Amino acid sequence: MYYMPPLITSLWFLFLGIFVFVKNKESNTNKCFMFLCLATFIWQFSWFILFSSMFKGLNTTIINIGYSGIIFIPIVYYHFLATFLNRQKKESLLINFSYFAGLIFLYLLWGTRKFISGSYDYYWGPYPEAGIIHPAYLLLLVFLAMRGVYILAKGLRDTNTTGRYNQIKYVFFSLLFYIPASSDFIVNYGKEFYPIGFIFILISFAIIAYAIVRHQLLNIEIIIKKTLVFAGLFVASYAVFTSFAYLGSVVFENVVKNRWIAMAPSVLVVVLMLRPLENFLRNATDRYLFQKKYDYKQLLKTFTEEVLTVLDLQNLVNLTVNKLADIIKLENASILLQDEEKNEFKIVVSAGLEDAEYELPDEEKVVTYLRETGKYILLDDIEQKKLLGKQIEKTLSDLQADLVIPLLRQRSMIGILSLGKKKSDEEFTQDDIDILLPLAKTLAIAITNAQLFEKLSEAQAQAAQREKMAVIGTLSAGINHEICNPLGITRGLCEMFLLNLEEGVYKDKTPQELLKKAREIMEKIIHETDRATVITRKLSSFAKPSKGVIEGDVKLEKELDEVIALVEHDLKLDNIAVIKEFEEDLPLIAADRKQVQEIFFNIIRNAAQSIAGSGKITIRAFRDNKKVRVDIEDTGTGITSDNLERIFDPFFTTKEPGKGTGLGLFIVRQIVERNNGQIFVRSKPEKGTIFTLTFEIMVPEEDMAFEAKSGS
Amino acid sequence: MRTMEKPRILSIDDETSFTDLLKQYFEPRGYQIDITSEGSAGLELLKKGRYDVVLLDLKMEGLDGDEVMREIKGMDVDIKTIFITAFNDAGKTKTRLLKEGAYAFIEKPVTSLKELENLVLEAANSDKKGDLS
Repeated sequence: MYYMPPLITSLWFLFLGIFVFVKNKESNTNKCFMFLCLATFIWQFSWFILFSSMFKGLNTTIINIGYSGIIFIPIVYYHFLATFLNRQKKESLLINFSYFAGLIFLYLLWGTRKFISGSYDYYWGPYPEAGIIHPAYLLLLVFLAMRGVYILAKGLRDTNTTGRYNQIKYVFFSLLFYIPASSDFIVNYGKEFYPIGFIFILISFAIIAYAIVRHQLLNIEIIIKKTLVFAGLFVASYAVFTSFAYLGSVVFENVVKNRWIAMAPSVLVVVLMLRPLENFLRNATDRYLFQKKYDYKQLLKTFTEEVLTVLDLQNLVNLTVNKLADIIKLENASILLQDEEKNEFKIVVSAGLEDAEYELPDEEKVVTYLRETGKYILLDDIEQKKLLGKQIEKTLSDLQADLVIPLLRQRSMIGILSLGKKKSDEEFTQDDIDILLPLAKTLAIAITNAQLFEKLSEAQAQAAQREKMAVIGTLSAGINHEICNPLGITRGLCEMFLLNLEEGVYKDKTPQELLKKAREIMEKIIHETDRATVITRKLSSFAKPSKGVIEGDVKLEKELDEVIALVEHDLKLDNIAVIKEFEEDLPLIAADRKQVQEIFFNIIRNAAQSIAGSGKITIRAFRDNKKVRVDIEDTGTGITSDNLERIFDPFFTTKEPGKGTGLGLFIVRQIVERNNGQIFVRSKPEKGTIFTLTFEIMVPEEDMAFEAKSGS
Repeated sequence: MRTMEKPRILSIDDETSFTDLLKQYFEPRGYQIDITSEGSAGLELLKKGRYDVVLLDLKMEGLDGDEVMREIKGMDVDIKTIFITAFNDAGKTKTRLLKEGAYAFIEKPVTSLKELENLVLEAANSDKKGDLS
């Protein structure tokens, strides 16, 4: 029987090692862990063969095989700890040295009798006897164990995330339990007691297994079906219990003699214990293995900090279902929002649902129930199920939902939050409901905000577009000039050539001369047509609504040139000079091109309008710290300090009625901010005004990746 | 009808390809035509030479067309002014300039050189001012 503990221990380690490796074959930590398990397996499995006396003649070889595993346990253990704590580099010297020492020990073990000198014959079987070099190995082991405790303690101190802290904590306890297993070495020095190291290493690795299940140690996420664990535990405990009862009946049999009567009290006890044991285990599994599987605090924190503040509707609902499914570990989650035009509730986002196209009409039973009562429906609630009837049950099963919560805004329902089963088969508890209901309330508010924001930005975009079209109207003098002139000239040239032919102006010309004339005219026509094309292209590009996409490689000077091309003729006619002073190698900025043009256009137009008579507009762009700064200075009439405070207000204008909507600078500021920029203004009456814009410099992608890495 | 001689023309327009075109058109047809791209240079030419018709752009750098016309009026000579311009403000400027004594106001693009030629002839041969547009 003495060979049983090492057999069980070795198999358990073999299983754990392979399991951890298979779950993540890429990870070096997992590989180290597997080797540690294998070394332990070699040790324990060899001892199993040794103690069982299966191959009596081979004892020396078996001992050598077993000790080959033992030698590397502290070394691989240390290597695993260093990798687990991301200290491979720092510890590489010690690790390499240890492996080297391990190889020497291995040589001494197989080649000489200095490491293991022979074997004792104990009451449970043969056991290796420590040789003269063996203490050196123990020295290395003690050193590695102490250093291991030290780096783990250091790791604990330096970690600030809860999840990671817990993982390190369990590895730390696991090591503390592994260390007493070295009591087995005493047996190598002649003290005869059964080596009980296996108990410690079993506990040690049970802790690791627990940490894998509860804290995703070694990046292994296991979702254990509650029923399965419960069944397993129940069978195991009941087996133990039954065997005790059987033992009892054997003892009892000595007294009563009749075997069947002797069994009666045991059977009674077994039957009576069935329910209490079941209840006890149910509570124990719930309490220790499940239930607190997700962290309410984390849920709340994630939602208040990351999710509910999102203003983009699609992003908000995406984050909501993904985070909910992720944190509570749900099989699926989805959000249905009201489609007012179609009078239905439609899935707008889902996670884990196969069929994400699903809609419920307004008069559907689930919808009417949620809307009228404002309460949730929980499928596990049997009483509620009875009350609601088959129809609701069917709808929920179509939705694959276990729990549906209405998203209410005042008295109307804007949507439905639908949550599927928990992956662990657990039911939703009152605790879950207590946290999900307020969450749904705030979610409803966040969704409403996002919807309103969406409408507002639409309205703003429309206002910006209207403003732009109005502006193009005022532009037309210059544009007209740039288009009508080339057209007139083109037409004139053609007409002239034809009239000249008709009226005999060309009658003295040779065909060659005529051809030359024609060529000249054609070339001019092409030139003039191109001229008109350029301006129409620029105009139509400017007039198109912006897509609102921030691009990472916007060159300010180029966008400014586009705008200047549109306005320069007007400015020239008004005797306004535009002077451009751009620093060389100005960095690119991240912005929406079209919107940058709109910004420049509006500010330059304002500047031009403020100039009475002749004047100039100077545009300077330069690098300022980590930003690009643009100053647009005019020699206009300036703005009084009273007005200066209000120029970015909507509908504020000093222009005569009909000359401006007052939306120009208000929109400009919004566009600037949407492009992560800032706008300032300084002005002196009668001297002029300076508008200052700052834009974020585009960060190249490699740098960005680097920053993200170093930030994490 | 004053003479059989072709009218003498001065074209003032900052769009040089346009004045070039006029020159190329009118010269082979026996007109004397001078061109310039600036209002002030145009006035110099007017003081020196004798012209029957001035083809005048409105919006120019420096001296504008309406200022040039005012100068001409002050010179006390019988020169007809025809505005040719891309400037358009729904007819307001046109009305004003015609009232101020311009002979005609043509919007660019000029639809036909032939028509322009006819207009020039008509202007040179008319005695009254400003009854045509």
